[in-house]
Amino acid sequence: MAFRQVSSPHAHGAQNTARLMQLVVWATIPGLIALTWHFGWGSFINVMLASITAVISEALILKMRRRPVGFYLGDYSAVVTAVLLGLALPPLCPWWVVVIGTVFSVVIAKQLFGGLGYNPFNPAMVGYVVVLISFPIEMTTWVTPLALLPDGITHPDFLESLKLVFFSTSPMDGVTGATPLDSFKHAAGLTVDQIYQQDSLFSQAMFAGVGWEWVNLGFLVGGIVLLGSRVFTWHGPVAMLVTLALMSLIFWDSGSSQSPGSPLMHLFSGASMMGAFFILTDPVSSAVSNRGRLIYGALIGILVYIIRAWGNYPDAVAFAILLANFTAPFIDNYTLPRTYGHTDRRKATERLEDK
Amino acid sequence: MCAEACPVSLLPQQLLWYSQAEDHERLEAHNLFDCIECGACSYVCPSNIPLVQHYRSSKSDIKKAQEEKVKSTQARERFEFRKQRIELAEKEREAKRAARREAAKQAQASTGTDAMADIVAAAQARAAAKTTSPEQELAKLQRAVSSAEMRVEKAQVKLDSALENAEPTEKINILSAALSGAQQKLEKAKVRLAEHSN
Repeated sequence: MAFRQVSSPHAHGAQNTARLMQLVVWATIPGLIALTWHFGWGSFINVMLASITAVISEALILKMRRRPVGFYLGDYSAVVTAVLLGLALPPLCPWWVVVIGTVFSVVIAKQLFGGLGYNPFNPAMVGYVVVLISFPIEMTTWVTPLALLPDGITHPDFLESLKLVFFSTSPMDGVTGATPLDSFKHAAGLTVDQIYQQDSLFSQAMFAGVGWEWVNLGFLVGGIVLLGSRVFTWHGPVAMLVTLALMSLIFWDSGSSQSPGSPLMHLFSGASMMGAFFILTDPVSSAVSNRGRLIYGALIGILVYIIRAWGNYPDAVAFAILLANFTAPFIDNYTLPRTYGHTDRRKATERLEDK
Repeated sequence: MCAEACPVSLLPQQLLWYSQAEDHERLEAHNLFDCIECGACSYVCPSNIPLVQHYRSSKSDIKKAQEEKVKSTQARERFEFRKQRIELAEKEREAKRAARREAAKQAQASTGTDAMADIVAAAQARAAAKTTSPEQELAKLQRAVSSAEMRVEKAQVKLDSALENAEPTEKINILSAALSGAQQKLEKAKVRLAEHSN
């Protein structure tokens, strides 16, 4: 009898990739509920459609790569990618946007780089950026939050939403509107107080933006659950959120017409919380040491703010995370932890002759 | 989570990466040899990667590479030292040859006859040193004469006893030949002694 594993440990913990991935999927539920409550069935349909597409395309590409299909589908990584992409895409966007984004994520961003554990970039964000750049109109049309719809109009019900997703040729009318970040971007010449008074997105909100504050709170709750179950460490998310808050505080400009928005608005708008807890914590494409994750998270926070405030896109989490993914190996080289028994940290680029 | 589990604060993910790439320098920079092989990283690994096995194999690869490096360094040093030694010996020999050539040239330059006379004188001196004194020579010749007389007597006795016991003719012939040989040698010794005395 041959032992599968001959060196320590001769036992294994109960954790495995499938469970971890399932946990991540469950942790997105609060965010998904908030999205569905405030923006209709669109996000739910996105998630379902993306998941089905991801499983099918993962199975096909695994077959083409001659890898065991059942084994790799069983790790749920494709489903996690699909769920995150589905949550990131605008509700009620056409079905082909979802399908193209998902196929690109799974096939090109993940499997062509070698599958789970070998992708240098976060697959969901690669798919998101590809469709964002390719189909800007579909990707920047957001549904109006439930609370701001005119009396007598509601979001389309489930069947109608399906019809819209699959058969509508033009973007929806009537129920679409700007997001809080859009409002700030296009409200040139108005002070923050004026924007808050004029725009019902803010005037009817508790502290950030109608609907969006709840979506972000949902992802925050899910993220704290994952943090509590030690799926990732606090370093990345906290560094990103703190940096984002600091940046918006520094450039707050006491609410003048030049101000890109308050820290609270930035923390609870767009994909801030989802990015902080579900995207940048990807163990494959992020930095590996705690110090590295602090730098990596801070870099994302800075980039998100810079692109939001002075870039062309209203939100920037996807771009910021992809840019930071580029830097992760570099950060890793210079943030090795101090090994027990050593007095100094070393550098990965250290050559033996240097000593 | 492997990095959090590690009791000596290594980065198991990076180590695995460089272990598979066989990047020994990076592995050493990541302090692979501080790994105590406890297996905590592997225990918590959700992907069930046999991390410690990879590290152990890399460790032995590195050790082997280091030993081979030491061996090859020693071999190179030996080879270089040998080359140096041979060169040195060759140079010394060349220097000797040059010195001899120089001496010969100088000898040629000073008058040739003198050199020949010197050589002859030296040979004569060597021969003179070898010759013994006349008293020693005389004693030596006297010893030779007496020992020859002894040998003649012995041969005579052997021949007489053989004749008495009526031994075979061949033996008697041999003994008589020996006796006459001993007598001749005695004659020669006596002649030499006589010559010396004169």
